[in-house]
Amino acid sequence: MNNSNKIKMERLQSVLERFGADSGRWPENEQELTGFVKETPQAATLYHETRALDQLLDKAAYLPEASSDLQQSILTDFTDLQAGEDDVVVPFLRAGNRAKNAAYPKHNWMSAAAMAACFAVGIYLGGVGIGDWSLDLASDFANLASQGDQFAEIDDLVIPSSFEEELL
Amino acid sequence: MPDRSPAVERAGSREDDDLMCAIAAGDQAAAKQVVERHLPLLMSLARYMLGSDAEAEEIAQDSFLKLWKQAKNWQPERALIATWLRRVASNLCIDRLRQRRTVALDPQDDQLVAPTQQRDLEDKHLALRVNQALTLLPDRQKLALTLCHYQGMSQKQAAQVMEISEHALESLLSRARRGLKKSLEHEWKQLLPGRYERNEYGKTDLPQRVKK
Repeated sequence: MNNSNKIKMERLQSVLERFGADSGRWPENEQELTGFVKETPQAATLYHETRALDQLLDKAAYLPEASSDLQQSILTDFTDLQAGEDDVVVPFLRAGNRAKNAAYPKHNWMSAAAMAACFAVGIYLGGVGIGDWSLDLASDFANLASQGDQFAEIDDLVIPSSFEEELL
Repeated sequence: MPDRSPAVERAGSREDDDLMCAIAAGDQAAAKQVVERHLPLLMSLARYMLGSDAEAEEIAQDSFLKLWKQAKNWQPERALIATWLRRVASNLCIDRLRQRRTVALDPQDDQLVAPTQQRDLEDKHLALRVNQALTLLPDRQKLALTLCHYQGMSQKQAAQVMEISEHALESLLSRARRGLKKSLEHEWKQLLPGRYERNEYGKTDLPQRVKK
């Protein structure tokens, strides 16, 4: 193989590695290499090897059909965002559970759990009598607030710190 | 996929800008149109990168969520939706692959599952081998090959998605192909002209048992 062909072989190898065997993808200035492939057995061998690799890669070609559940989930995210629910949390929607979760609006279970917990604590506190005590305390504060002039008395009751005593 | 001409690209960009404008205004039909147009390719990209249908769905959903959030800040004529979505999905995939390594997960069974299309047994085996070899490629080489070979993007478009120069992309592609050519040598040799037919009948290329 002469020097010129050696250089062309290197160019061909570079083109095949970058663009594959589909000459339609080769840059225009490399199109002349198709003639070189036809004329030179070594170039043809290299070309056929690359084409075989391309064909092999095509065996794993895969264009999935997006499920309607997935499409629906994506559009639900859109609707939620439009409704101002910025806290859309996708990781909760694992793919396997997508259909199951689709039946429940996101985060509603969290709100329901929080409400149930508050309700239970309320019943418990009521049962042990803390409710009466807390009501008394609330009523005291209410009386205090309604008698504005009495705040002056409270101010008088504040015990001065030693530093303030010195100043006095 | 051939390079898109600047005029076609500008028209696509205008169409995308209109769609994003409608989406920012809450137009459900526009959102649906974008989902229908881009979801399959986005899932395909994530599937090649992660080898798992379930994870591919999550990546696709995360990517669209980011797009919805981006709608109000969409800058006209800065990017095509397809490029933007693929860039986001690519980054999410690479993050996941890094996390997998960090937590040292066992290889997932479904990474090695061949696509579910109808194929004969030999094709299924070859697809499985290709998927295995792709899994072993470095992340960015795998991404470059997926964008160019499987998604049909031009070098220029793929470089935009990966935010690298065309030269850097071509370097990644070269290394990916060299790696695959080596790791799949036995398989691609079966597809060489003149050898395939004989292989169909199992007469050549099968490893010979060494008689002791």
